[in-house]
Amino acid sequence: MTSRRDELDRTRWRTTLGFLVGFVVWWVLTIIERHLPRDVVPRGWTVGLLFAALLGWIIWVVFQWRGLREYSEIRKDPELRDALDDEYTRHVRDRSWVVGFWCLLVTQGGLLVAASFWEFSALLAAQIGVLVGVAAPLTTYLVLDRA
Amino acid sequence: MDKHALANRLRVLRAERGLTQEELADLVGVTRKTISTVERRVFVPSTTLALRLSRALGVPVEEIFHLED
Repeated sequence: MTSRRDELDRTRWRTTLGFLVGFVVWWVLTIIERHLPRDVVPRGWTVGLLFAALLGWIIWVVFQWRGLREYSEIRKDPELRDALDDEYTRHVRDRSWVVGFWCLLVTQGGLLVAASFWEFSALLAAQIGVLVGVAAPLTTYLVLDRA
Repeated sequence: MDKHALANRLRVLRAERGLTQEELADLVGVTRKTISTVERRVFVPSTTLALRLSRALGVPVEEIFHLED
């Protein structure tokens, strides 16, 4: 029989996955819509991209809310909270931050090099930075926590 | 690979006591995943967790963990 602890552990994994998928869809489509030249993307496509990005945002909000609700439930039970924040979970979280940091550093380095050859806006660089900064640690967390 | 990798007999000792990973996790106060990753040597536990495992299984810690030559 699955204990409440392991059930919540699995729910947390699924919530993080939903959060990541929603965020990536929302962010990537927003970047495409905003930065692709208008003559490359037909008008109908722009509207479609915006709707798809909005859908991604809704998914992100739903999973964000779900995560907060789960956290408030866990917080009420100190024993459950400690078990769900056990040392393997903390180890996975620490490694995810490290991977996220290096991914962000490499991305910023790449953008710096790219800026020597092409012109692009600071907004695009910032959006890519946020995307990588959120997606890389979350993806690492999901992969390592699956072990 | 570490010259003296940490090996363990956690799976054997747990099975001898008829415990599932989940039951041992409950006794120790961690998730089943933690027990599973320690058994598979994916994760090296802290001294605190090693001592908690030792207490839960009723054996000295060196009976669970040992250094490989």
